Amino acid sequence: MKDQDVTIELSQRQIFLGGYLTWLQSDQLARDLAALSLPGAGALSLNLAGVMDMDTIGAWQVQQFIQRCRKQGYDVQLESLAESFEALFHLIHDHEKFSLEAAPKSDPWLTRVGKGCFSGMAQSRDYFAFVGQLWYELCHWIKRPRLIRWPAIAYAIELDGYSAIPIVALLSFLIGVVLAYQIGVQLRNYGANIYVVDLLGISVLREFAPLLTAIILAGRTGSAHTAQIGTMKLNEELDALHTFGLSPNSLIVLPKILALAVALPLLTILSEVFSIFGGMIMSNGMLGITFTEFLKRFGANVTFTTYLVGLIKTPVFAVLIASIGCFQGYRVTNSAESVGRHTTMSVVQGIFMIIVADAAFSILYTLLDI
Amino acid sequence: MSTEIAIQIDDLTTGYGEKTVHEHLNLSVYRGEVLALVGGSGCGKTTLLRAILNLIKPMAGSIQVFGESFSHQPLENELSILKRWGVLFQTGALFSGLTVLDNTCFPLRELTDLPESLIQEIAMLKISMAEFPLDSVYKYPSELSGGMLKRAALARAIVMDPKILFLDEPTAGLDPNAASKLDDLINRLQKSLHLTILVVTHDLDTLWRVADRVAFLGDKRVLAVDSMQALLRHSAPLIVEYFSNSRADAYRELA
Repeated sequence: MKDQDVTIELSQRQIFLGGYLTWLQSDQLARDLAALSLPGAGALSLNLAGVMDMDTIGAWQVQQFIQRCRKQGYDVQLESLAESFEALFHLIHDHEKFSLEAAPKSDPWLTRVGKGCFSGMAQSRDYFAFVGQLWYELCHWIKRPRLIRWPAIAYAIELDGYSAIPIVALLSFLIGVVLAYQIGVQLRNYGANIYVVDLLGISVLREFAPLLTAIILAGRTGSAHTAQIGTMKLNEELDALHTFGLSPNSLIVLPKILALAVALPLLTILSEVFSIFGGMIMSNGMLGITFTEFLKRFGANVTFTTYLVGLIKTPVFAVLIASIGCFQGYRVTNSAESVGRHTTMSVVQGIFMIIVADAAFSILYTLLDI
Repeated sequence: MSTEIAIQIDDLTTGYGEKTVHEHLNLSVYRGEVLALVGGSGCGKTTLLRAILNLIKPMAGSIQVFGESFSHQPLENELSILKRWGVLFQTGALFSGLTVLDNTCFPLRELTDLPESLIQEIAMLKISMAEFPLDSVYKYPSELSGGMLKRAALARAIVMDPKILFLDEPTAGLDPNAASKLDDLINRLQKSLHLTILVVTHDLDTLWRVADRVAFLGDKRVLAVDSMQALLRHSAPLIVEYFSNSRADAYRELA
């Protein structure tokens, strides 16, 4: 704004400061005040008659300027200050005696590493304690089945399972297509086209479908659990439940875990169907294997054990996803940022634990010769 | 108090979906005055505040702040209006991930090009003006008590030197002592910073001690705008009902 400038003039021992002294002009004001070549020590008057507008920032800069001059031995007097700005100077004068302490320093890196290790260990301990508590409350449910919250479980199945059907089906279909294509390109070189059925069937049923579905749900449902419980904690809703003598674990967490333990196997079956369907279409188009040929070989060479071996893993994945999601929700503390951080952690740890569990299953199956 | 108008609301209709909250509401706020908005719960005080702040779009009518309206404005003009007001939200609305000092610095850092040292000085000055304890500026909002939270939020609201300050239930949830101190603080700041204040409140103390005029909301419009003394003599049934309780009677005897 060219028409809203700071005007400054020095004549003998008088400084005429005028114009607009607001935050918009603070750069200019600082430059102009610094560029002033002051005469030798003695009396100096600062005339503010020409000030059109002034805010705290302008007044603060003028005040600081006066103090600098006083330190250099000038005797500065304010003159012709408009009445409306006088109160501002008084206010600043009353409050200028603050000292800005340095911000609390963060720890050196070695300390941070140590603290990180301990908090990581504490977190695993808390997680096991949480799982233990869940078992305890689950036993309560089993002992007194009328406590089981069927509506909550059914609602969670609808929310986490039923509404995930389209996305799981679509992604599985695409993965089936991609897998069949990649396998087909290699097999075609050897004229071993028909083996695409075995490879596809076994890999999808044993690994791809359970893992893919679990990972989709870790991103979709685990994060939702964390955000929901975290926000409830910030709103003191969990505390409200406690004061009624109700446990959030049995009211909110257990239904979610049980619902996912039901929904994830069902979604995995859906995912298997759509992956194989995608693979069938690709095999038909690229390798010339008709649907009947495909299904015939599939029925003969892919055993029921393969199907079970894949499916048995999924309730374990479900419990991991839902319990980690809810656990991270409980760990949210007092800020919106914390909700975000724990939601991220819930997804990352969920996927991590799924893969660890999958590896453990592989070892177990090898030992059992399956 | 001047006759210059700070906020002019003409024929305002607001609502959510089919339901209207205000119909053909008119209100003027003069520059330099403290206008209080009162009315029963659910009469749309906060909705009116949100409409003035451009947080909800009115269904009809116009709201002008210093002669400028938000509708059909280019973005730069909108920003220049925004910089003229500060808001103290009911629960503080401090950013939970930032310390009190960073919360107060935040508008300066985002909206101005000032050097960091000056920003921190100005923020400390405002925190001191809001009478927030200076040794707690590195605390996070979750570590503060209700009274401190309001003061920190007030410091952030005045950090840009607003011309208009909006206060949404400033004394709600404070003990009488803290509430009374906050009233005094608002009075002092209003005088030294030449603020125009629009305050939504239920607090009779605030109405008597801080407000120059009181606007009573009811039946989807402003039923009366007057001083507290005059409002108590008003004959509209809603107003009579609002002020006829034992708490208000104590003031009636004093008045």
